[in-house]
Amino acid sequence: MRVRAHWITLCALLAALAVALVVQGYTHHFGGIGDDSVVATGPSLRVPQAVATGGPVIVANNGAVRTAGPKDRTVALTFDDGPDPRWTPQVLAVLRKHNAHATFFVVGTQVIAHPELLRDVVAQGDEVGVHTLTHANLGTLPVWHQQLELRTTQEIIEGAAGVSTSLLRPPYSSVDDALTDADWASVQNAASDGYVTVLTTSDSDDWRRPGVARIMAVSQPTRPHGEVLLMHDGGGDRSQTVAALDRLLTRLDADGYTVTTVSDAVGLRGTMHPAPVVERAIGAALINAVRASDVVVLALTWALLLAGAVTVVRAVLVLGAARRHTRRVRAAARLLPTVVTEPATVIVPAYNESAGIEAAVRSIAASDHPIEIIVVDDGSTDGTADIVERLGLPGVRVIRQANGGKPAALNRGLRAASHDLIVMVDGDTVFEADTVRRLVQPFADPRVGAVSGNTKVANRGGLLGAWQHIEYVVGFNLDRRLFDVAECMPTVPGAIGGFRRSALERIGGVSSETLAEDTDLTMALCRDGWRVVYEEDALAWTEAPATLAELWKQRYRWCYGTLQAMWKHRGALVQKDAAGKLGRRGLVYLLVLQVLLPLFAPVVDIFAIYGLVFLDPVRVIGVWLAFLLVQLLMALYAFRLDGESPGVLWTLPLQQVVYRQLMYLVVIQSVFTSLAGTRLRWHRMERYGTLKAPTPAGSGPATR
Amino acid sequence: MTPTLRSRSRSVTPVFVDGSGRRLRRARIALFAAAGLAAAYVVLVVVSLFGVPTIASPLLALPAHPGAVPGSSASPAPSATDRASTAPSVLPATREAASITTTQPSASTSAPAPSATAQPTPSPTPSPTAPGSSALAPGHITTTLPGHSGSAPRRSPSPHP
Repeated sequence: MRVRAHWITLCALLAALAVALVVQGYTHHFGGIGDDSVVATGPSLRVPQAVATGGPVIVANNGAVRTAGPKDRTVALTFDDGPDPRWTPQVLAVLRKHNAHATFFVVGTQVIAHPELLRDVVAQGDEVGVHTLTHANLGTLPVWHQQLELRTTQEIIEGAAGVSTSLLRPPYSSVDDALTDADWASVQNAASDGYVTVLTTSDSDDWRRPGVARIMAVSQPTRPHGEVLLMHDGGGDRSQTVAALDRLLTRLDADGYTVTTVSDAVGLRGTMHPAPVVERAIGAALINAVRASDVVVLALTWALLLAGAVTVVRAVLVLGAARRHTRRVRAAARLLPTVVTEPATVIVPAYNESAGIEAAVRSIAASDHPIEIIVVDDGSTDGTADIVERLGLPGVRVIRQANGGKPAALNRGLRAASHDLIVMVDGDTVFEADTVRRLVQPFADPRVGAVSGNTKVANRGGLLGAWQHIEYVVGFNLDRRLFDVAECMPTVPGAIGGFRRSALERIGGVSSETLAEDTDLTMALCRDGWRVVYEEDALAWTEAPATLAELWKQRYRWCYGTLQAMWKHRGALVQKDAAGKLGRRGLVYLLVLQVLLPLFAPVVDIFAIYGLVFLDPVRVIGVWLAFLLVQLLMALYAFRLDGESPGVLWTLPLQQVVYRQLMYLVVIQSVFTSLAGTRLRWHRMERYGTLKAPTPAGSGPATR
Repeated sequence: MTPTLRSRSRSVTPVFVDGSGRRLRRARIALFAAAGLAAAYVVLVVVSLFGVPTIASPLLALPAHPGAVPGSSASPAPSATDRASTAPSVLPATREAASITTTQPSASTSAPAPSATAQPTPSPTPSPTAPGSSALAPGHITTTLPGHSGSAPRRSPSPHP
């Protein structure tokens, strides 16, 4: 089987969407700068003594562990959790004013949001260090995850400011003797990657916002030894930090302290240097990729909400219309039981229907309404016409013609019809005795040009049959009531449709321009100004496809044909009166609910998984169940309206899931075929008057 | 009434069908372009997740601080200075080597082993051994450097961010 371009693209797009969701979900919902009161608990037996009691700057590679501390009377000023668009510029301004320098330990997600701030920091001569991507607690993560956090932050820093740094401050760290074994292991992991871990010796406690005076009091060094001071320039309201910083720097300056970066304070060289071009490019690309993920997820979230709203609105409209329709039809039936008594012509186009033609014709012949039956055999090769003739039923005429397609057969029957009321059926549809009579009653209203009957699935056994049964009762029939009330019926089904002959002749009969000739015909009638109504009591029993392959073929043909008809009649969107109703109501409804919403289905499913992983799974499942409940209630109502027993509805949840997948594949295939203009197998070949049997394969890269 | 019905289905081009195949080619190009963009995005994310940025480790070149410890409780200046001057000899491995080892998780677990098994010789106060001898023993933990008093590690009661 040749792999089609559109499936490859679909898979690629869905994969990219999944990656975008993972990226967005991880950066937004994992870790996070929040309440910093995580208390590190755990054994610290394996933390080397020198580290626990040594300096705050830990260099550990090649197995040799060294610690270092700031020189005497030097304060290494550090700011965590930036860059923040509100506070970092203020901190930088204060530093500038006092001609001091500091080290900024930045969080990767913040840099992505504000890369220009990082450039400002570097430009001012301050230092930059890594504070992980999502403010993750490194000690609690597996090694690969720690490396991921550090690596991506490094790349982001390189992409944003063009420098690479070897300084690291682990989130939730404090002084060196507060290191637990897990913390120490993560410090060593980082060290083997080349990082220098910088802990603190003095916590200003500013993240708690205890007041400027308290911050000042705690931050001032009490001994002549150097300190590594921890402050924050992000993660909340840092106005106190900024104010305290100003006063602190004045005080330290007066007391003769040097306030500088960690490297200068400790005597490290080469902690920051320009990044190579390749890594800068990768970093910049990564920043853009994360930003793109955010945009995509935001847009799709809005689309998802819109889709949910559309579903709810549709449910409300459909239910409202169903009630109105039912009340009107039942009232009319009570008042005028049978008004139309003139005979009708039933046209049965048949191509190789030997299996079901006898049952169909017999059932129609048993109608309690005066009819003539015209069976048009469209060049069958299995003796369909012979079967009908052998039945010898009165009032049944058989017309044979060379294979010309269903529209041609219908038109042939139309030309041969003697009456003014026409009923068109399929060659395998079984009627009830009162079907035709009920179907023609609406023609008492001279404005009515066509009547849609009620198609029912005969073979309901099995999962596929049950699902289609539900679909016919809930989907098609509820929709038809809505279209009737809104006067915008787009489809009178080929299986059972009643037409006024004069209306058909006005629009030139059945066209073969589309594969959904019934939809095409109905739309043309609507645009011509005729009312098209739905008669729920005129039943027609059809054999629904029993295998997935047949179902696919049928739905593909319907979907593609509907797209053709919609495009052909797109002018109705801007027309007035009846045509405008079809255009603005019917076409828009079809476009949104039978094309756009099914196309959106895979996105919905992927988002459901995203929600389960990154959001509150209980709420996600709750929303799912709520929608399922709405569907169930609608289905119950539809079944009650139709007088069907609701037992089969237990398959509804599965039907919702599976059918959605099937329908979106069908719609994608149909849309692609439409856009690409390929000729389908079912399209008629150009003929030039010579009798030819139809060739099964179409020209060009025909699809299934 | 003369019927104006279409009796033939030929010479009617179905809606959408483009016999020339031009739209198909254009559609294919558009699709492959979209697929290409999507694939590029995925590859980019994966590459940055598994890529290897260069972190040239800093030289722990600690300039000697003669007389840098007035008031520092324990470290005698000369031996501390000597130790400091020999410290820079231990330079970090090059980036590539370090990165290769980091891809195997076992590498990180081997690191604590030497330090854990090493004799706990370090004491905050330097022992009166020959200057420089204890500092160079590989795998041994070196003492802290001047400028920091190890004797009274700051204990802070509150948890830190």
